[in-house]
Amino acid sequence: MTHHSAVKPLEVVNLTKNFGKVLAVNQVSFSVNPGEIFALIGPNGAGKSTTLRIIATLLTPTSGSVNVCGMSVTEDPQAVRQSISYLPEEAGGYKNLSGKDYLHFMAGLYSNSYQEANTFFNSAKEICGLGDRLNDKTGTYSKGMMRKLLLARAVMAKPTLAILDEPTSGLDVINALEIRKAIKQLSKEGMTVLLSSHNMLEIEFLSDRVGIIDRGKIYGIGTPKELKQQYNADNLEEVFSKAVSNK
Amino acid sequence: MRKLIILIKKELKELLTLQMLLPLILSVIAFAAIGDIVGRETKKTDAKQVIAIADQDQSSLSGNIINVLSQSGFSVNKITESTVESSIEQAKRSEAVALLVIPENFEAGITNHQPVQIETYSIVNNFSISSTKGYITLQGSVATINEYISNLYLAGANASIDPSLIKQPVTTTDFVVIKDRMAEANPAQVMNFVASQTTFIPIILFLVIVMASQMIAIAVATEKENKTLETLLSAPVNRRTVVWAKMIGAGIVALLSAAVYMIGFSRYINGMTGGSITSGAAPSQEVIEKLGISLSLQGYVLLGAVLFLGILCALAISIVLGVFAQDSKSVPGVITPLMVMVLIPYILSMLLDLTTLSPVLKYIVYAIPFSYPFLAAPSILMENYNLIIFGAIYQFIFFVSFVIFAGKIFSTDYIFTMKLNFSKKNT
Repeated sequence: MTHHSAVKPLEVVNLTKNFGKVLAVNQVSFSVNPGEIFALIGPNGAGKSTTLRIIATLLTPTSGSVNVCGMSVTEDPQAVRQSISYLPEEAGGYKNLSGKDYLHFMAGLYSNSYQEANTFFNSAKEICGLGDRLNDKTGTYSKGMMRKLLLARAVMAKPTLAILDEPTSGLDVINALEIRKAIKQLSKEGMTVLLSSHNMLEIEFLSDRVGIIDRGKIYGIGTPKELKQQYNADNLEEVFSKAVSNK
Repeated sequence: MRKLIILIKKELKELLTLQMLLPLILSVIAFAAIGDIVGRETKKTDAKQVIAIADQDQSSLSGNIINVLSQSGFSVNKITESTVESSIEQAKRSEAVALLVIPENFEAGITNHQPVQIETYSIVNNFSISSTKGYITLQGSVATINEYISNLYLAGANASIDPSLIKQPVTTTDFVVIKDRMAEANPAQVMNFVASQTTFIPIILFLVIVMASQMIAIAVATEKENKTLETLLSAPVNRRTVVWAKMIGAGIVALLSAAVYMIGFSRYINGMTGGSITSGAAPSQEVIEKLGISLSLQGYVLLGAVLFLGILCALAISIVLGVFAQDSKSVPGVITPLMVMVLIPYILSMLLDLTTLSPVLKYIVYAIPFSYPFLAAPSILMENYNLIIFGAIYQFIFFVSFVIFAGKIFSTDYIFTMKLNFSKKNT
């Protein structure tokens, strides 16, 4: 994957998305710096997933612009897909494929040669830590195992921008902790991460910068420390509560 | 191309599961086995059709009748008992299907030109189709007796004329004319031969279309249901490649399944008929060639082309319809329009000549891309190539339009937002 150091991995400007009469995303603007973990936090239905799906080229914006590594998601979605990797919330696998087959299949899609596909597969195998269970069909996996497999899939190709929608959603404490550690490690290795969560304590641990979103609008952007100072709050939950009620 | 192959392999792995293969193989084995068993049992009952005859007249005429029956291919068992009850018991023991009782004074009645009666006793052991053959054998034996006696009467009345000439004074020499070709042949045989050549085509087509459309719609619906579609469509793969892979994967599996079904089905038919339906009544090779009722190489190519294009059209329509399905359970509902489109020409072609329908109905049929495979074989045999070539071009345009449409849907929000909800539950 190409890394464009001169341009930002992600720039979102005045992004708006309507579903009929429903305004899901309203004039959202933010940018993500190289190697940064940026989190969108907000309750369910705040517009996080819609924003992420637009960045992942799955939905088209009603207005505004989204550029990934300088490339527009509307004008050149195919090129954008070369630089991103998207882990949807509640994503599943192909139940009749083994974990190994699934990773081989996805590695094939993200690579440009069989050698590269093998490199991606080996990397995913190591990241997911599923060992021999990779030989079993994914239909037999627990939620935690599935999430590890999918996260490994999402980052195996070392994308410039990894988009992770609620990466630890529905997981127990141990599995959630392992996933968070993996994300942190990948960021240290230079990967830019955009994630969403409604678990604000998790975000405080994980993110370099945070965007507070509710009812489709951004209410504040900054490091967890800056936001806590700005709103005179002890934690991000308090920041969120004050930010949303002030506006 | 590499990514297309990777995607096709994945589709095949997803579709060719044990759950899909096991019922397919089992039903084919069951079909073939039923055909074999029924065929074997039918042959057995055919060989066993014994007619028992109790000759109470003991005349030369009754003796001749028994000889004539034997010479006409009936397996005759002469009863030695004197009463009807004991004769029936003896007939049962000899596994006869019927008992004929030739009464006393039978010959005297015939000689005096009096109507005579023969009592027949059908021995029914069960009510299966094979046991009805016993009655057919009995009717045949009575007809043979009547034929023999009526010939005797005719020979006695006018000894100089052959009795068969009196019964059938006019015979025909049959010719069949197709377009500018003509041959001496039995028209029923010709029609049967053409039907035997083309009967399987609609069945194969219908099977393949039903299977392919279900598979592809399920493939799309399952991606939505299992939440794998978003991952797949955010990967660096052209959306058209995803569409093609799904169509090719489902097409391969549908063709394979149809081939397996056809093998089982033909074993079933062969078992049932002993393979005799077509071979016994076929016109000679010379007649076939003279009338041009056998498909030529070009004919087969044209027929193959419209069949193949018909399947492609079904795949392209199904992938679009599959987008409306929110899970695999709703697939049968969303592909109903396609089933209707296939059923209209399928049923009409079985009952009517599609080319002679009223103009409005004809254009409706011509607008359906699945009509042409049903029209192809008879039209090619009648050298009506223009209609089929037009059909092939129309099918191709229809297919390309739907593939472009499918590609567009897969490139827009509709792939995630479109759904038909058949239940009242609102999600």
